[in-house]
Amino acid sequence: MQTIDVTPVVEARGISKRYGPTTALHDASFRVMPGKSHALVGRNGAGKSTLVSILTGLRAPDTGDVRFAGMAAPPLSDRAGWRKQVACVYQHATVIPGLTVAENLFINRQPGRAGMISWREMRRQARALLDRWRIDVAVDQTAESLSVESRQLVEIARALSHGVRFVILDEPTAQLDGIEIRRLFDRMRELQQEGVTFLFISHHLQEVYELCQAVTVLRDARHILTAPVADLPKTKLIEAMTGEATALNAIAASPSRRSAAQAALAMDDVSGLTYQSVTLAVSAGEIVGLAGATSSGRTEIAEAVAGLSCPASGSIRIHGQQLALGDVPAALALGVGCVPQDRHRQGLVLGQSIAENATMTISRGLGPMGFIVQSRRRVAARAAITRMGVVTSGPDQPVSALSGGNQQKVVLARAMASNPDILVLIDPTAGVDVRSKVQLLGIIEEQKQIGKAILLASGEIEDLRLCDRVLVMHHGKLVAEFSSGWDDHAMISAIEGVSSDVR
Amino acid sequence: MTRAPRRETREVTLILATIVTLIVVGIINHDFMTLQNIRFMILNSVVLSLLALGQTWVIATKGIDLSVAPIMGLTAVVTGLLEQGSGLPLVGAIGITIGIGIVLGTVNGLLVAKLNIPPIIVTLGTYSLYSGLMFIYSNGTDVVSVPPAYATFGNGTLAHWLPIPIPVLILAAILFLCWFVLGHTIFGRAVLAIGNNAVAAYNAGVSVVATQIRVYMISGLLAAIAGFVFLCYTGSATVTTGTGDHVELQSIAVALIGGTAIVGGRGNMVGTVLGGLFLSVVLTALVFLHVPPIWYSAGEGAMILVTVTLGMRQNAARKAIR
Ligand SMILES: Nc1ncnc2c1ncn2[C@@H]1O[C@H](COP(=O)(O)OP(=O)(O)OP(=O)(O)O)[C@@H](O)[C@H]1O
Ligand SMILES: [Mg+2]
Repeated sequence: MQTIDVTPVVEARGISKRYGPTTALHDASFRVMPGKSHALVGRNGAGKSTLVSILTGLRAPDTGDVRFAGMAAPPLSDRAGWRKQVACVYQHATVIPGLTVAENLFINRQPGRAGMISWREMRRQARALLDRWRIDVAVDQTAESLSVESRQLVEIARALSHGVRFVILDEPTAQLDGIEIRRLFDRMRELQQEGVTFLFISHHLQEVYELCQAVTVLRDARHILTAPVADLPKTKLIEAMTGEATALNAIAASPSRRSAAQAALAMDDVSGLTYQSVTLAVSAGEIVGLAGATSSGRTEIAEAVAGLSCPASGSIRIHGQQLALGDVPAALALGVGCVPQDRHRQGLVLGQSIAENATMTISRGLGPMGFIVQSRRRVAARAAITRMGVVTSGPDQPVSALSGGNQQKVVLARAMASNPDILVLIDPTAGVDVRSKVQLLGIIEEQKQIGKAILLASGEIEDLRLCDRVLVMHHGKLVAEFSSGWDDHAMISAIEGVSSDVR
Repeated sequence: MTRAPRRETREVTLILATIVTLIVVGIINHDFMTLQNIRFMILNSVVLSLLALGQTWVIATKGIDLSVAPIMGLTAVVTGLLEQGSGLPLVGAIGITIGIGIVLGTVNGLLVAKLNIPPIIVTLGTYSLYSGLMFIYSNGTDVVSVPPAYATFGNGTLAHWLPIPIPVLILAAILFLCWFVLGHTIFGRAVLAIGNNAVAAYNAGVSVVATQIRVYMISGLLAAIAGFVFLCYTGSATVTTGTGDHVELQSIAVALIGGTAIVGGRGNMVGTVLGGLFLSVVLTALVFLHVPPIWYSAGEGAMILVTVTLGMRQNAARKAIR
């Protein structure tokens, strides 16, 4: 390779990191060459986010060191020093919600004199900065009103304006739809032309092939390989990630178990802020998919069934019984289990253990008269951990100490713990690695086989393949219906609203 | 020029609510709207507002300062007793006031920011500590009078063509400063950023520790000034000044009524001062409506809960529309 004499943008050497009994990284070394997009892949809990936190100076490694362009990284306390070297766009927002875009871009270095802010100058500079990188966002908008896509671009622009030319993206595509992902990738390619280097983390391997030139694989806290993407076919990549040569099973809908009787879940002419006149039914033993762009309303409809949001009008019936709208306990009482979209805000009590989180919906069943028998809880939790394949040191580990994908598995375990008749699953495999995804989808499939009615709202084609029927939403309306065996292209065009296949 | 986003509805609501209270109670009891009583309500609101302005700074960072009550009391007692003992001149008393406020506030700030102790614990602790200092220093002696210079400072006007009491002018100046610094300086925006999302603010380079220390320092300083103003206009101070009236709770309530978010990230200085005026008027109204004194505490509490709840609903409604 002729790049050998070029100094790497970043180089990590012999990095180890332990959290108590867990080894998150063991003697990992790797380097990222300038002007490339470098992928970092591995299964849930492999140590990717840990490596990122070390590369961005948020955590100190136990051993090893980090160098930027050949120079030793600044000490951990020198935030300003790190900020000039590297920036990271996380899945969770790092913008300040109540402040405007312009303020977020210039926070703590607002233009002006003697500590007094010149708003006009700040807005002008913000506008210029966004224009310079062709980012189409209003500078006076508050950050909380931004879409995920715009928020990520604002964070990238902020980093670039600090002079950073090395940007880490930790699962940036997890909450974006197809069009948004394409736009993000186009933008990343443009920036790459201008000399920006990316480290890109994703569980969608096709994105790695689409975008990146080099890839690093971590497995069980160890560095397995770094290679040009072109030299590594997908099967080899998965083999490196999982350590086994077995191919992944293809996902497909099994024959329907649908009973002809009354629908388990029926929505009739339901309207809310982001969707209008939605009518749909899900029978027992059936998986119905809700597809659509992120702003199509698919998530909000699913939330309405679980009581997480309150529709303005319409009726929802569970086994023929009227559901009180916008009332989570009522939905639970009628047997609706839910995997919400935002696992941090709606799904988990982060400070509590896996056992507590996974059994929260069934704590009544764990002992007499409000008492919880700890041993019973642990047994229940262990079963869930094995079933879902959660990578953890044990049921007593706090959920906040799990990797992102493993937290998602706990949310799914909890939704199913109470054995509900209706499962509402919103992006159930978000942040889950390729192999675990097959496992989780298999579990969802089992639930169908035992006669559950499942509503699955997802932006991922892979998830939707499991469905007996897929309803496509566009701008808040149901626009198309596909039965299993659909064609990918037809599905994607319906999702993006370029289809004539109106229901 | 563009400013930080404005929320005028809150201010308008508070002004209207104050006027309605004045008119209604004024009709029921003719003694309510006398010049003397209006003067009392305004001066009383100055003390409340000073405390609440400090509280607004702290709450905007998602903190809370319970120790404003003993800081107010301690300042009033210390300056009052020094004057009685040695004839401390006005300038000296003001200097001591500023000193006490800054020192005690900074102690709070250091404990919160450097030792990372939750603000409610820190200020609950210093509440007792500072009240204790007040008892030790005064040894139970009350301040019963102040010299003319002090009384003028507390009640007089700057010039006869400007019939506004000096404390009101002081409050106006401090309000302007607070409004300006919160809305238009890097420090002010850092305060809001920390209250919004401290981790993101830290990652964006905001010095969380320094900002927190300063915020508690400001709160202490304003509480001390409130104490000295109280001493000057009432001419008295005892060991229960501040703590006896639960001004820490009142100041929190005033800030919330004024539109500051208890969850941090939003502060409304003008709203705070209007809230102080409103609370002062309502508390006085309770007296003029012949509410039996044993009901004051309960009435005050109920009134605060009602207003804060209504205010929160207003916020929620606004969120929902957006
Ligand atoms: N704060 C913590 N305390 C204890 N253990 C932790 C902590 N953070 C991470 N770990 C553990 O370190 C390991 C690596 O986690 P990390 O978050 O780096 O994984 P990841 O590769 O990013 O996974 P994912 O794809 O699920 O996001 C996991 O086993 C996790 O449980
Ligand atoms: Mg991760």
